[in-house]
Amino acid sequence: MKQALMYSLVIVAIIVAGVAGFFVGYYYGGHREAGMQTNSIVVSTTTSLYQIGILNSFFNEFRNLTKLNVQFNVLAKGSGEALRLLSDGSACIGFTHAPSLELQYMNQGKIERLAIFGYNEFIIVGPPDDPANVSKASDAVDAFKRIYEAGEKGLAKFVSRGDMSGTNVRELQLWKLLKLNPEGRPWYLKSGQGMAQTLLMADNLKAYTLTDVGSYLNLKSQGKLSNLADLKRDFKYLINVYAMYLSKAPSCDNQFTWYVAYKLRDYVMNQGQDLLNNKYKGLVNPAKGNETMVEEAWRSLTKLG
Amino acid sequence: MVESLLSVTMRSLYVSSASSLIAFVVAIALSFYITRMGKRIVEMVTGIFEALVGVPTTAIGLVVYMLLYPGGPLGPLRILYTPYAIIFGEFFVALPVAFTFMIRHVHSAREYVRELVLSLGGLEKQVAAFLLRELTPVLLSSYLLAFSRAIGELGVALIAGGGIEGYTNVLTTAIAIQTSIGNYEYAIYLGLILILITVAIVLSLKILGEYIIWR
Repeated sequence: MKQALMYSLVIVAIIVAGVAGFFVGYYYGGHREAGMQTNSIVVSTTTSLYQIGILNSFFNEFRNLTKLNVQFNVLAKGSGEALRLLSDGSACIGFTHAPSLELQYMNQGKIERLAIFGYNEFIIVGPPDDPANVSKASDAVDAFKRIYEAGEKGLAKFVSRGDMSGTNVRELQLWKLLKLNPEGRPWYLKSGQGMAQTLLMADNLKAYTLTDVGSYLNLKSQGKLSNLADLKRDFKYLINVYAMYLSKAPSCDNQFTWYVAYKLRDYVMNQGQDLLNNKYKGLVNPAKGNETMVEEAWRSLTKLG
Repeated sequence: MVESLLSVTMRSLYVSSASSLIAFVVAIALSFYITRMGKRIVEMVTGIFEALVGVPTTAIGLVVYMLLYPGGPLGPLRILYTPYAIIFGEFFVALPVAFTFMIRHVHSAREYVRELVLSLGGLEKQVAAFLLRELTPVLLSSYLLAFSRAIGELGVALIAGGGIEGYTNVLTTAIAIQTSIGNYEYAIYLGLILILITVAIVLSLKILGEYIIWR
């Protein structure tokens, strides 16, 4: 009989735990029901903007200034996936940095560019002793050539994102300009992961990689990168332009979304520019004052490769 | 900026217990229905579900995305990137596990319990009650298995849920996203919580197992 008592106790305990978990989770787990359908907008973004914290600053200040009751649901993805979600209409507003992909979707009529709001640059980072002599290269293309040659000699490794993110697209464009294909070479490693993981991987392997300067400095300042140095900058080939987009899919075609999107555009291009200037200078620079330069850069990047 | 461990954990518990409860109920209904249809059909259906146990959750996540995205067949429901999307997807993750675990027990128990009850002078209407009593430990273990599979899966939660902070972020997506932005410390705390929960489940499974043998 004692065993039977134990047995029923265990069962009762598990049922109670399960049901309690369900209800506590239901009430506590931020179960935002009220108005969920009407005033939330799904935003897809490249991870770098999310990681640096720019997007949250934008949204908080935007809500404070406009007093609009809108909830931004942020999906942090690579630019490739972020754009795909926009064209599906799964997300309505997107922040990306892959001009050649963006142009493709624009030409298909699936997205509309709201603004180019900021820029920074990609940098080539690698081991401080620089076995491939990247720091002596004349430009970014030459730097990639040196990495390729050093790689073939077994002196260097290169970690690629391999995920069609903005950074990955730029890297592939550079290889294409060189007419070299590193695909499948033993020194060419694909992480298939976000920028932070790719940087940490390069750090552990003492390898070279291409990164946006914001993600690199963000991790560096946290003391997480010990074997990587900023080796080559080249504004011509490595400028990185951030733009925001509105999806033209039917699911985003409603007054509220469009109103918020254009309001957000106005905010980002005005007060948002000051915010970038004051808080994120060096990580992401405001486009204000350099409008023609960034537009020019965006255009030439769509033609690269 | 990062949301609190507690709210992520609680959301995780809510989403996975909801999906595993639904999967559990459906699995019970399905297994009782199937076992009335003869050994051949039982074997066939069990085989199909056993194969489904091994389907990667990312594949299920992609299928769920294709169903739920605005242009998809279930697009008008507008539940993509909500907790309901995760519950919907994790249902398909949890169902095969719950079903394959309970089907064989249900199948054999149906035969011998009925004979036993009747041969000991019981009534036909008592069979169901005895069957339920006999199967309780099996059913509970299968529920816990389904729950632990649902809480530990990443594919559906990331693709159909999106890992939106404060709304659809569960333990596994929070680990994935925080890792992808280099915030390993936070990810490790989340990982520890997840390990604690799954270990607790395995332990209770063990205890239940003891009683199944004892019986």
